Parts: sequence; structure tokens; C-alpha cells
Amino acid sequence: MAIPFVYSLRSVAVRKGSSAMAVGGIALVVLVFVTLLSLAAGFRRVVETSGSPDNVIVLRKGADAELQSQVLRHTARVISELPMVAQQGDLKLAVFESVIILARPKRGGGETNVTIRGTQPHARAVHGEVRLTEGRWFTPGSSEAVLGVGLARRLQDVGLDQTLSVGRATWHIVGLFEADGSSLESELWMDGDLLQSEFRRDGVFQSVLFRAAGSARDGADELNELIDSDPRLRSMQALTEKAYYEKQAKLMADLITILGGLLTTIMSVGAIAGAMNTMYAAVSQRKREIGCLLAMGFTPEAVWLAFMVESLTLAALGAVLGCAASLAFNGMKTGMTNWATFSETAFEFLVTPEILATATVLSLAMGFVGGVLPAFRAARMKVVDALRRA
Amino acid sequence: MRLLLLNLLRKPLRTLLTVFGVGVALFLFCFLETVLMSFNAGVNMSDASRLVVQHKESIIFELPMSYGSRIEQIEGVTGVTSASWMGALSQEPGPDGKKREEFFAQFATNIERHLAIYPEIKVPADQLRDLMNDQMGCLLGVKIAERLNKKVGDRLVLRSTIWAQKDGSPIWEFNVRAIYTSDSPTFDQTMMLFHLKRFDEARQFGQGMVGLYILSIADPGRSAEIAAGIDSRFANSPYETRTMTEKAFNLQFVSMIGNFQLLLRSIGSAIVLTMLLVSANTMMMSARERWREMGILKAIGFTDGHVFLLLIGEALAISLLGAAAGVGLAWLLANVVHYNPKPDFFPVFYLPGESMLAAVGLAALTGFSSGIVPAVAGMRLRATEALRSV
Repeated sequence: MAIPFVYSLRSVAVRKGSSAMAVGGIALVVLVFVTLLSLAAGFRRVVETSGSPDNVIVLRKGADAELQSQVLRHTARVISELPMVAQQGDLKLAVFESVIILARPKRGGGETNVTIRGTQPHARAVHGEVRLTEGRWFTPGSSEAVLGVGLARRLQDVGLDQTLSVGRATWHIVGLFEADGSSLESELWMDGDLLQSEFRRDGVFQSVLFRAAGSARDGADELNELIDSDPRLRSMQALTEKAYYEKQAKLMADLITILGGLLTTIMSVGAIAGAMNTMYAAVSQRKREIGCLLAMGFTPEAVWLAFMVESLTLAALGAVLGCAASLAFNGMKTGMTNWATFSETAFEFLVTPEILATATVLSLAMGFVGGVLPAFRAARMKVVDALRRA
Repeated sequence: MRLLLLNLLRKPLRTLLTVFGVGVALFLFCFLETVLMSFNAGVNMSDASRLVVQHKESIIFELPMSYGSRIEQIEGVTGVTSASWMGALSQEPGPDGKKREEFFAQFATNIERHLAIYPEIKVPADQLRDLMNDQMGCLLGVKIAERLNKKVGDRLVLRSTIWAQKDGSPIWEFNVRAIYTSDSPTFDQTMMLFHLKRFDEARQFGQGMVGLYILSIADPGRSAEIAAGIDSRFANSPYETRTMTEKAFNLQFVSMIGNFQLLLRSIGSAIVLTMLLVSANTMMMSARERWREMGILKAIGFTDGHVFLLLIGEALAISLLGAAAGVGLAWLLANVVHYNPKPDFFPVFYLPGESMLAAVGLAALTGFSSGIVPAVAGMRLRATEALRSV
């Protein structure tokens, strides 16, 4: 016969201090685990939502990011006339874009690198995910700019109807845009020709982005074949916009995963030691109690189970507490420099049900490993020894 | 003393688990300190007598080569060198035969001038001579040479993400002519230096420009004045400058990591808290179990002070043993075996002595605060109460 479940629960409740500490230890591991995973998930979501699935981006061969790339005007023109570029009426759905970064003060002190994108009037037809949320779009040829909402949150004194002075130029911010939470939201957009002349980069673009007539993958493949044979396109490379952003995020995502993995592994080993200690102490404190249980006819298996349930209860409480605490981080805005683009990407902690489930499994596993040996010790006690007065 | 030892050995498993728990926590603490330290590596290796000149608006814009001699004329400047960021990845076959791209820092520079400004870089005289005689040569840090498995005389192939050769190819080849070491453990030994002359002649665009100027000054106390002097000299020119101390320059990159550092710090605190919980828990449990013994000790004439010392000594012993294990292991891994979880991201991975001291201090604090409650209770305990049967 099994020992009533209630026995295990009450045992947890009786030793308040000791239980609270074991629970606290496990909860902290869960908290750290969830926080790191949600950081990675938030970053990954920005990457996943960045780039439209129909688009192809063309860069100089060897460049991993737009910032490092150079595409001359005549090359860009050749690309925009290619048959794999989709057309909307008379308009070729290709934009020539210039990208620079500038250091600007951010909120709460320090500096951050801001990506400034010089683009063309029809940019929104190609960047399908970009939507204006406030104000209006910039007027071509004027010193007006629109600001991504992610960047607006993080910059000091730069927002709608404010100005941004760089060198001798002053740009008026006339609108705010969002882009499905993608990294474009961390950018400032303005007229491309103006940007080029302001920074003496006339006729040099960083990338050509186009909507593929067919699938983006086919478009990129066909273009790469063409690049090999067409001398006008020499030293260019094409890849889908999705692939481009995934590649960029790899370093940061790897770093979070490696650090997170190492941290959680070491921490859970520590927490298992803590749980084991608590359970061993529970067993030795309740020696006589165990003796009574055995003497009353409960089988050693039942005693084992009772202590396992106790340990798992501690772990479950820890999981609940840790998960609950981690929810406070959900949606918290943060930013991290993406080393590939050298600029800051805004994103938020994203606590997903999967992460919470994984954390719960992890903590139950800690409870299991921590409880199994002490429970065996309890089950193996001899009635006479256990009942003997200390 | 003997009693203390016997108490520690009475429940060897519990003592072991607690020591283990504390050890794990301190190991993690050291690990995080090492990570934080490597984030700050650039700041730690900067010298107050060095200034860095960059383009006023952004680090991605270059400065004319002619600025070098003009900076040199400014009073108080003792030497000038330039550095151009290559942004390349190695193209070496890894152990599995597949191409492996390793990221590390490469700079095109005037090597003689550069070495004069960086006395930390130590190059054997014969290797330096060979390097100066080979325009295709390069100087590698000893750590990156190990990582790439390169010896003096080997060939090194890189793919630059920024610079193309005249024919548009991003692939650059070098001869490893010299390998540098450094006495300072905080100095980055994963850099590569190569000849600016060859770089400038071979590249497709950007001729006559360099990324940064680095200069040494005679009197670090005058750095602000000299920096202002340089910036005013180039004010209102097409390429305005921004001069700062090497430390401030490197801090720009640290501040980019931003919240990530805060996150690691919070995790570190969470770990220390866990450690306190686990250790305090155990101490209280073992004290509670021994009330009767303490009563006996007092009954046979041990003073309150003895009992107090016995209990607090046990707590201190446990946490200091844990510290020895955790800090020792971390020291062994980081400073002796030179383990590095992500060498391309952490050019310097080293556990500083202060962090080890801090960890031991933390352990002592933990031991003390977890022992103080039971120790005071034990001291106040009256023999009659303790010996009364439950």
C-alpha cells in the first residue's frame, strides 16, 4: 500500500526553512535558465521576422553584412533590369540602398551605433513588412527621415518631430515605422542620394534588394549562376534576405547558446547537490518516523516513493516559483550589438510555453536525481535501527 | 580543532555535498568573472599614454593617410601609427578537412611604427627582420597562431569581408613571418598585423586612407589637451576627427555589449545567493541535530565561546574548502589549461587574481553568515534545555 500523498506534502510544509531553501535554489536555476533561453528566443524572433520571404539581397562577394559591401551604381542598374526582379506595373521592385552607422548617445547613458539606411522612394514596395505608425514618410530629396520604433525607444532625444544633427547636416524626423519586430525597426531611414552626398559616397550603394519574380531561393540561385558568367556582375553575390539575416545573427545566437548551456549545466549540478543535501537531512531527521512507517507495515517501496514524491514536490515548487519570477522579464526591452552589423538591434525577452515546459522538466529532473539516493537510504532502513533511541 | 575535524567527518556525504555545492557556485562565479573580464579586455589592455584618432561621425569612415605626419607635428606626441581593420576570416581546412572560417582581428599598419607604440608586443629580432623584408608577410599573435595551427614560414589565406583586391577577389594571402608574445596576460595575443603599403597598393578602393591613428604621448596627464588640439587642427576639414584615450575608444565597444553584461552580473548575484541558501541550510540543519551534543559539551565544562567557535568554524571550513575546489578548478581551466568556450569572441580569456580573491572573500562571508545564526544559538543554549529529552 502506498503512503498517502498528503504525508509527503505535509513533510515539505513542516520543515519550512529547509524546504524553502531547497525550493529557492531550484527556483534560481530555473530563473536563470528561462531568462537566458528567453533572451535567445527574443533575439531569434527578431532574426526570423527580419527579411521578407520573397526578397533577394545582392552584396559584394566576401561581404557578410551590408555595411561591408559596395555595389556601384552601374552594377545596381544591371541587377534591377534582370528578369528575376518582380515588377509592379512599370515599377521594378528593386531598391538600391546605402547603409552607414553613426555613434549616438542612448538613453540611460553610453553610446550605441545607429544604422542609417539611405533608400529610394519606392522602398516600402520592396520592404513589405515596413508600416508607418505615426507621422508621414520622408519626402524624396529633402532632409527628412523616418525612425524605427525600436530605435526611438533606445535613443536619447531623438524621436518624432525632433531633429538629428550629423556633421553639418540636420535631419528632421517626420515619421515612425514598425517592421514586424525585425531589425529594420532599429534603423533610421532617409533619402539615399542625400545620404551618399552627405558622406561623400556618391554612386556607391551597399546593397540591392529586390522582390523575386518567382521564389526567392530560385531567384538567388539563378542570379548567382548569372554572376559567374556576366562580367558586369563580377564580384557580386546574391542570397535570400532570410538567409542573410540568419547568417548575421549566428555569432550572437551561438554566444548565448554556449554561455547559457554552460551556465545552466553547472548551476543545475550545484542545485542537485543542494536538493540531495536537503533530502538526506530530511531522511536522517525523520529516522524514527520512517521506522514507525515500516513497523506499521508500509513496504520499503512505499517509503521510497514517499520520499521521491517529497523531493519532486520541492522541485515542482521551485519550478513554479522560478517560472513565475521569470515572467517578470517577459516583454522586457533590451538591445544588443550585433557584431556582424556593428549596430544595435532592439529586441525583447520572449518567455515561450516551450521554454517554461523545458525548465519544469529540468527542475523535476533535478528533484529526481537529488531525491533518488536519499530515498533509497530511507527505504533500506531497518526497523530496529530506526526506532532505536539516539 | 580536533572536534571540528571530527564534526566535519561525521556526515562525510553531507559535508562533501555542501563543499561541492559551494565549489560549484564559486566556480561559476569565477567563470562569469572571466567572461566579464574578457568583455572588458580591451579596456584593461589600454594604456593611458596612448590616444586613438577616429573619424568624427563614425568608426566606419576612414581618415586620409596625410594626417599621420600632421599629427606627429603636434607638440607632446611622441609617435604615430595607423591601423586599418581588415575584417577577414581565415580560410583554413579544419581537422575534419572542411573549410573552417575563424574570426580574429587583423590590422594593416606600418609595423615598425606600430611596435614602437605597443611595447607590449614582443617579436624575436630575426623574425622581425624577415617580416620587414617580406611585403607579403604578416605578424601573428601566439594565441591565434596556435588556434590556426600556423608556424613561421606557413602560408595564411584570409577572406576579407570588407576589402577586395584589384581583381575584385576578397581572398588575400600572407606568409607568416613572425609570431609575437606578450608578458601581460591581459594583452590581446590573437591579433594579426601586416604591411599597410602592400594593403594599400593591392586593394580595389579606399587608397590613401586609413581606419584609425594611434599615437603615444609623453605625458598622460595632458591627454585631454592634446586630443582637443588634434581635433581642432582638423576641424572644418572634409574629414573631421575625434580623438580619445585608448581606454575611452575601447570602452565604446564594451558599452555596445550593454545589457548583456548586466545580465551576467545578475546571474552572478543569483548564484551567490543560491550558494548562501544551500550553505546556510546545511549549517542550520546540522546544528539543530546536535543540540544535545552541544548541551553535553557545555555540561562537561566547555565554554560558550568554545561552542560558538566550533559551530562557526565548521561553517567557515566548509565554505573555504568549497572555495579552494571551485576557484582552483576555474584557475586551472582558464589560466593553466587555457580553456576558452568561444575564442573568436573572447580574444583574452583569463581569470584575474582579484576575482579569485573576491571569490575566496565571498566564501568566507558565506561561511560566516551561514554559521553565525546557529553559532549564536549554540552559544546561548543552556545545557539543561538541550539535554531535556524531546
